[in-house]
Amino acid sequence: MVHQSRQTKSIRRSLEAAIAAMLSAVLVLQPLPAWAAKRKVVKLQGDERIVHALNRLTFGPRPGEVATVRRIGLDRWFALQLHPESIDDSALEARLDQYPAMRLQQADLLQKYPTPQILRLVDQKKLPMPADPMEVAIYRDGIARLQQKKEQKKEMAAPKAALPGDGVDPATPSMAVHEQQLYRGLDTVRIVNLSPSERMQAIISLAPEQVAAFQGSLTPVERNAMLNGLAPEQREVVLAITQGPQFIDNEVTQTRLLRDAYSSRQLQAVMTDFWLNHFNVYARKNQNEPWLLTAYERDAIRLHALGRFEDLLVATAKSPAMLEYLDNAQSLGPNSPVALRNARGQRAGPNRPRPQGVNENYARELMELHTLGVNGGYTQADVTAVARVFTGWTVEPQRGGEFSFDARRHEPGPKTVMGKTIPAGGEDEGLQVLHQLAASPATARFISNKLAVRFVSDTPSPALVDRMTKAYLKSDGDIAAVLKAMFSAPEFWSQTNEYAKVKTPLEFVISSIRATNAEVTDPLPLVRTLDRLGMPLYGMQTPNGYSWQAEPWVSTGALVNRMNFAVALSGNRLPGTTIRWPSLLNEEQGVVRTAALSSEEDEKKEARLELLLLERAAPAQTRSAVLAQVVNRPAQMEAEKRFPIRLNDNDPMGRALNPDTGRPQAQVPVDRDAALMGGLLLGSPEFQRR
Amino acid sequence: MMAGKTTRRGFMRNGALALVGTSAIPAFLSRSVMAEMTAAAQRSKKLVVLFQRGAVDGLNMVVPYRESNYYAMRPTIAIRQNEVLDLDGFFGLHPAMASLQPLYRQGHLGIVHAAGSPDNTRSHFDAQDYMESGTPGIKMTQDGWLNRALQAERLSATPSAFRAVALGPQVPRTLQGSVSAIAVNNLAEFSVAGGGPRTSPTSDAFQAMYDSSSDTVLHGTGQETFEAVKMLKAADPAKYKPAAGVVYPNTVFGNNLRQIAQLMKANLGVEAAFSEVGGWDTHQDQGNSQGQLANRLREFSDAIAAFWQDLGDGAEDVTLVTMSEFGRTARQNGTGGTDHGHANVMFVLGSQVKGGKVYGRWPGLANEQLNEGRDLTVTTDFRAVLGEAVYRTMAPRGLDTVFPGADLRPNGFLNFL
Repeated sequence: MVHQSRQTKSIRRSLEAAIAAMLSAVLVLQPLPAWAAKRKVVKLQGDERIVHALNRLTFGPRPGEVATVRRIGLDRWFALQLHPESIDDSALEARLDQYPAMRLQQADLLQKYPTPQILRLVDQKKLPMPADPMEVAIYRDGIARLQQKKEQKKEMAAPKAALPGDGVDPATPSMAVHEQQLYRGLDTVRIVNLSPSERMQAIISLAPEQVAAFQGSLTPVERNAMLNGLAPEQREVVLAITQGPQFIDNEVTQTRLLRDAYSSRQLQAVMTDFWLNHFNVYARKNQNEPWLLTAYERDAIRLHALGRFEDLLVATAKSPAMLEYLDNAQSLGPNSPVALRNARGQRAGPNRPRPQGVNENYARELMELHTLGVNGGYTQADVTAVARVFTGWTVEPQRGGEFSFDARRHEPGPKTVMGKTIPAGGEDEGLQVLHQLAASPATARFISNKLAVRFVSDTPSPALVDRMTKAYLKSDGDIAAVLKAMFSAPEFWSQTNEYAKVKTPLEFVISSIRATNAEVTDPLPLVRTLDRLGMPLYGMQTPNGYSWQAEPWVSTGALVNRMNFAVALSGNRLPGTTIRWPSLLNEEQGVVRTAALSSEEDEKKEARLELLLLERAAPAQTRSAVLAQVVNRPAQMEAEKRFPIRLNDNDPMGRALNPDTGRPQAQVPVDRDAALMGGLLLGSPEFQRR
Repeated sequence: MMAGKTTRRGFMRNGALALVGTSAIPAFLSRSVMAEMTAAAQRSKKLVVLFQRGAVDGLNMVVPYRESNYYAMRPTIAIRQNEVLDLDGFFGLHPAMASLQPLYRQGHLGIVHAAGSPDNTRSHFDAQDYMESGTPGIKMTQDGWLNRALQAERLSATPSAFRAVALGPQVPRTLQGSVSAIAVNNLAEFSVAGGGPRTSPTSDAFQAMYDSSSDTVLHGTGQETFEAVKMLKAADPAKYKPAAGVVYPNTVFGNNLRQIAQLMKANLGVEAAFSEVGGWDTHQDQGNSQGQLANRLREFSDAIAAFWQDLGDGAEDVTLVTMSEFGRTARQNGTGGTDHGHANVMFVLGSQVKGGKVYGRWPGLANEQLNEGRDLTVTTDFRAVLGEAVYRTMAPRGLDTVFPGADLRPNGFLNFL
């Protein structure tokens, strides 16, 4: 099996595909889920197992990865993946060197790149201006930006004024309007042409009112040139000054995407994605939320992604990102010292303070979505009690970045949660409730089922979920133990579950990057692609997160976008991402083919691409559709232009792009045939599944 | 759910649409096939649903300007009596909504005030979810009320691929369910690998793959996708420019309505269309006759008025309803805005609508009349408004499956239609 020739394998695969087609035809008439059919489980064998494991436990196999896992041994590979700290990830870290701000601790990030809230406090002299000259420039320009926005708001209030962006929450920072017409005299070209250190000095010395003019007057060429030669930290400072809040948003999403695509710790990346979705937060909840996401992803989620569920739960409960997102930061005990003081003060003036009290938002979602599940046996009274337990769990009010337990906001007295009395104990009450919830069999089942839906099937068999639930309870909620139980369960390896999962947009995009070994030098167009595909990163507004099931992702519009993305990506029309088809196919570099290949050569190339991108032979109809297209080369060139992702004008890192040539040119694929066939295969029904 | 989908596809495969979906048919022929098919669909009524996400302040949208407590509770954000656009001597429109006043006067625009959900939640997520599923208080409902309305419809013709359309990246909860719905951001980009009047060779290659795929899920959606792409190319909605003098606001929402009008004018068989519009969560500095909320309302009204004008005679079969998950507090808060409240206002627009009237029982704004002492009280269940709109446009087989548990009876309708 392992040393089987490609041809025999391909024939065998075609046969299997035919059988599978027949089986699935039978299943259509069969309303029961696959697991309910009483027949012997056919288990995957040999390399099929490896491909299946890579499809499910990573964001998709990279070229050569099947062979690597075969060499290590599948079980050993899995064991390593459960211990991410044992896997070298320096290649990813080298890429992330470009984003040093995303490595800062929460407090340092807020110090260096302040939120609008901090800027307002500094402006009102309630917080000091920093001493570091670079930071001074960032603060000064940030404050000026806020004032400018205020002015714009006033202008917009005037009749017949321009309208704000639609669908954008009023609290969301909108892109600054560039006042290109003003400050014409500014010597943009001179600044751009300075040496890196002088340029840096010149930019941080710009008066706040000049920054917008400078940014607005930059041509794309100059924008890239502006960043050229700067160290990553310097580049970030320049971007923070010129882009404002958008800079944080961009770096958060870009680093997340790079990690998913390039981390060798793939199971950790997949589980981080799983938990980020389980403990969903929304970047546009308020102005501060984007600043809280790096620490949330890194310190709350990724750190515990393969650890104990209770640790993960506590970390999310205490994370400012979650405290803000589900409003617990504002929740106030009705008999707390602060509430009693407010009540006394309320008669004072006509402009009373906002009505304040217990906010049940977090308590409800904690039980419904994070732990027990909607039928997990709690009542509305339990929701109210848990909400009271968590009063005082808030975010340190001044800078807004750290968890703080504020006893003055906490509801005094004992509470009863699901029949258990929680004695009055301040912050400890919440920890007790989190322990109670994490240890509940309802939670064990709810989490196990969700994992099984993510990793095995949209309708996992109860037997599989039982195994995983038992592993959870036996191990005190050790996530790795639950995954081990899943990995050793026959259901995981059942042939009926092979390719049973439709990829989410994120899985589709990242797997296509991995399958083609694409080089991503600017992740922002990929981030925007996810917006278009309906799955923006940190963009799910509701706390239930995105669905792990196929239904929402196979809509008509979604398929159009997937096919267009596949064609654009394979033709290297997506800015900032390059596929080197010749090296991928071990072809001689630099050969530009003008004449068509013989049909025999076409077929050979197509077959290689099938194995490369799909890790299996494509069904006959897909293959013939691809081959029929190779004669249509001009159509391909037209097709590649259609995916409407353009380089954002606020392109953050033009680093890989030659500043002298200005706007990045789409690179012509050296092997146009491979690009054409590859695009069709990436958009094929087969590539939409894992 | 699956069975319903399969049946519908089987139906379509044997119908006129199957012909349209075949690439071998020349464009002129597929156009005439389409003309035949859509003649039937054209006769059917169309329902346009607009969701104001974020909870709009209905008390400043349709102002009860004779309520003295309204002014007492909103010292800086109230719309003054001499600023409102009077509707009936008691209510007045926000001045930024001037473009809708003629529609009200002509009797096309009806207003239902103090409408809302029987569920008391003040969570955006839950309230939107309940309003879209049409089952307040029940989270487990899988499909949306508008999809169930389509499911319950008595079909007189082969349904079009464009029967249910949402403008946006995803099918909203309202339209999710066993009847296929199309989500599209931009009609001009709804094309695989190349624009133009004919499908590109690459598109045809993809179609061949999906058509013959044994993958039941992707096969079905793939078929619908290429059907829709071809219909769109044949009908070329881009050629339906807005009618003379009609200017849509150049915003996402304005463009959404412009595109819905294009789809309707192109006779693509649209029966239900959905668009959302955000930016209503005005906790801070919402303004009064001018400011943040005024700007949002101006865009909202101008887009709807442009849509109405643009449709011209085509507006005859169209009914439009607006909704928002809940209203906002009757009192302004400490930051010049309003917090999450309860009852709200809904608009119903259509030539069949008995407009020029504010419907619903007005619960009053005196302190003791407020819900929980802070919000406008709900006197009309939002499901009664949507139910009547569905009942009188789509003629479903009963409303029990559309709004289960709501116990809607035609004799209990407000009779705005």
